[in-house]
Amino acid sequence: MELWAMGPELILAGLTLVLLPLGPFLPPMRKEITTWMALVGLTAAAWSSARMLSWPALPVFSGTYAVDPFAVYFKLFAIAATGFVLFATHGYFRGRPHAGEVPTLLVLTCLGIIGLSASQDLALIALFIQLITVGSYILAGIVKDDRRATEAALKLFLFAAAAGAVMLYGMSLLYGLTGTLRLPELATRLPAIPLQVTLAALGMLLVGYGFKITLVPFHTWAPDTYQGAPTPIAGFLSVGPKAAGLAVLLRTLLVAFPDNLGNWAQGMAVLAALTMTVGNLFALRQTSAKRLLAYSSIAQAGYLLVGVATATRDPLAMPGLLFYLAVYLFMNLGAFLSVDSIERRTGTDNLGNFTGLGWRLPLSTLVLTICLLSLAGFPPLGGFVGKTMLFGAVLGAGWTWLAVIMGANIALSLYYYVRVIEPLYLHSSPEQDLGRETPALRLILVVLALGTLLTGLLPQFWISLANWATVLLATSTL
Amino acid sequence: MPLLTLMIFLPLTGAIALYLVPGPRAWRWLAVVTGGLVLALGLVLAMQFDWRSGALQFEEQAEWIPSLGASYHLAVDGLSLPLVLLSALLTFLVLLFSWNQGQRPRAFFALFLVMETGLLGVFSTLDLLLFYVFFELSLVPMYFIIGIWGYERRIEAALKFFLYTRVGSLAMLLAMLTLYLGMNPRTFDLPAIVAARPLGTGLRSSWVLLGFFVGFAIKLPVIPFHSWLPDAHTEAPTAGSVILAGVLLKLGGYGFLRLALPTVPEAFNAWATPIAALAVISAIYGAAVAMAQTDLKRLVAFSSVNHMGYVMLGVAVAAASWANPSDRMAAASGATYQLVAHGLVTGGLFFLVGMLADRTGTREIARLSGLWAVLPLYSSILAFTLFASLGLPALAHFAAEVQIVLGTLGVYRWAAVGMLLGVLVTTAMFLWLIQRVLLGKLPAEWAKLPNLTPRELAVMLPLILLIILLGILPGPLVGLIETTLRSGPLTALGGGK
Repeated sequence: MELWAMGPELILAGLTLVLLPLGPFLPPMRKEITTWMALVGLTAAAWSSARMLSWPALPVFSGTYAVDPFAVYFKLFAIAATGFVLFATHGYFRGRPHAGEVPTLLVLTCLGIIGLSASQDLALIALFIQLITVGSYILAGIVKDDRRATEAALKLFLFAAAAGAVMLYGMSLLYGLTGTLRLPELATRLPAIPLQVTLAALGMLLVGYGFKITLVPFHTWAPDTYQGAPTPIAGFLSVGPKAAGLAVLLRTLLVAFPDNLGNWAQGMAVLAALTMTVGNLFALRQTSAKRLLAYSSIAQAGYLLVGVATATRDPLAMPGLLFYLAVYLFMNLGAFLSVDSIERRTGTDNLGNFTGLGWRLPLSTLVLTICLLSLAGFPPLGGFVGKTMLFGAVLGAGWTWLAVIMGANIALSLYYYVRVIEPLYLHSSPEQDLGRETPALRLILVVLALGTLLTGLLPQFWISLANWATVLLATSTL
Repeated sequence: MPLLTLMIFLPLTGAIALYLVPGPRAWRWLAVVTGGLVLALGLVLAMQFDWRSGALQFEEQAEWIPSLGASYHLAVDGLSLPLVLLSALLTFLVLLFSWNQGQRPRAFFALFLVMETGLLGVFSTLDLLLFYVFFELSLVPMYFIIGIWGYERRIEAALKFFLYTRVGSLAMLLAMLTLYLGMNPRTFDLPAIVAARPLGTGLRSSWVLLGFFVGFAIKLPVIPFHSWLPDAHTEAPTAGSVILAGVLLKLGGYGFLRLALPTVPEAFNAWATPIAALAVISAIYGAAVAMAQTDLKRLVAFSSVNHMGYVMLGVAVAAASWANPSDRMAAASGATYQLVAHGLVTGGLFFLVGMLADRTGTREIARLSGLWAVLPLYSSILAFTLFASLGLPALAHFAAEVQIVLGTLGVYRWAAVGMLLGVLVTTAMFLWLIQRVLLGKLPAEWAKLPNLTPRELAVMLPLILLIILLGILPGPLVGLIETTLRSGPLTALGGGK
């Protein structure tokens, strides 16, 4: 039992077990204790993960679980995401029912994300996907008297069930064909299997993974869920599970389907182009900020998938993808939490009500503007450096068509990002100062904006981190 | 002493400082003083500059993103120094002009200062990625300037400007990345790329040229990529129009001369003739459409299309590697000179139009006439600037346009004829404008208009002096440009290819 390899996971699991009974039994005035305890626990888990930074890549638990820089990167990512969101949920759920349970569920989902990005066994992957899903839909629907939230949770649940079922069938197909569920062993046995069957199984796996990543055409749950769920939770869903999905997709493709078996790279390229285009096109007409951000997240997934498609074809691809993910954490979460702040002050996320907010709620709108400009890829923000790396990877892989599509999409996306920024500053409304945000929210908004800015101004640190994290266990292709 | 870094980031520091001090009075002092300091630094730079050397000077290099091969690499030479000074001067004048800005002055000044950082950075950097960063950095503040402080159709104009130039920038980014990927080891360093010529004459160099062309032709602009310009210039506030016409358009010309020409000269040579044709059409079209305008500001905006057409022509001639080196040198030098001249003249024109619009509340040419009687000083300055714009000898544009024509004459006879036709149309247009607006009957409503304030005069004076100086003494600037083009990083233009 290699428990030493599971430091962060054990800490988080223990934390969940402690917080779970604590939540309901705390008096209403003291519910926020769970948030602070969760943050302490997350810090401990982060410290434990950071200690693993210098470890070599090793398989543990009979090769079903991996300890490699790639997994450690996602551990840190998940912990950071959860920690950031806790600053917002702290204020959002104050006074509402189940305020004490939200941190617990977030930590549980975080555990799922960490586990998923390190799993090398299909059964374990299925397990962790389910864990993330359970946490997600409970969080989405936790505000029980909001019909939209319940609808969001239900859609998430049903979609996850269907996608999960297809994925499990694909996994069982692979097991039946090769006799193993371990990714490295699949790599040696799959080439002997007829290609059509392998591709069919891969396609079914993609349904499950794609659902998490909001890959087209498995994205349709996302707009409704993001719009209906509590805004901080929507922000969490847009970064956490998505990153987990990308991690497991990369690991599966790179480890189990080496040497571009079945031309998965070209397939992923097409799916990436499709995803970004669908996301951007549908975002153009949105009037709800949360729904617009939902479609924007789908498009961003498309850009990230470009990194997946080019992962074996250019040295910029994997670092670019991992770097972009880090920036995405800051900018997408920043965008959602700014919208949360605006929603708390104005009561709505409808773009029509954003008029003149730039002057009335300066901090939240400034952070929102920074994050949106970063999502659109403007320098000197992080989104620009990330997109440049991905552009470089695509051109380096020789897929000029994809670079042109990506460029057109980025230009197109500016249109709807501007549609959010425009009413904030370019229109004015009767001056009515909206007061200030809560301290916790103010802090986290500043942190996220700074993160977006610093990843653009001083990207070297993050790129070095991303470079180091490209090492996956049992990959000879990199 | 890292003079360039100091100069580039001083405006940004000023912008941040604006948010640390209270009160409207402190803001305008801070803004103008910052602008003045930057200009002073520019003059120090100019005085310490070795005018006889074509090499890069004040070079600064520091690590930025080693993993990507992007570094913080700055330098100026004879090509960038005039444009750096132009940016510093125009921004200072704009801040001075906006002294009485009443609507949200803090944000107004801050945006112009941030934009100045971007502009100074573009002209000083030798790293492609950093170039792009500064290039786009000047885009975002301009969107807000047009959108918040502009005129009636400002929101639509700002959006069009933003999206259009964004597309161009992305095309430029793809071109830059193609060059980057061709280098081994991969680097964004411009001198290294120019020296290595990674793409040779292959198909990829044509793609790079296309990317650069789309990007810079939108900025310059050259038809058919110009349709953002009339709306953006017209709807922008006066200060915004001055910077837009005076400096932002120069980014396009500078990009062609600094980036496109040295990195893909063979591809540029192959496409020189069509590009020259496009340039001539753009020049004539700009002048002709300007003549048909009823809005004074829009007329000046279209005249910019005309002037920038000559820049494009000069660049195209310089790219024709089969031509006589002295013709190419004259054309390139003329194009650069035209950039500087246009910045001064058209910047001045937009100031003047703004002053008039402030007084009369209208830009409609039909409603303005006989102004010489009521505003003699203003009218003489306006007439002077309009004469400068049409290329009157002894004023700045003449020196530029004569070089371009002489260079073109030896390479594309038809283009030189077209250019002269454009000059003719421009002359007619401006003379007609003078006759309509300044001469003739004075309507009763304009019988009493306030005279030029000392501040407005102070803003116009440096421009007037420089226009005259660059017109009667073109030698030093031409010499500087030619020395740089001959022996500096652009030796391709001096027949060094």
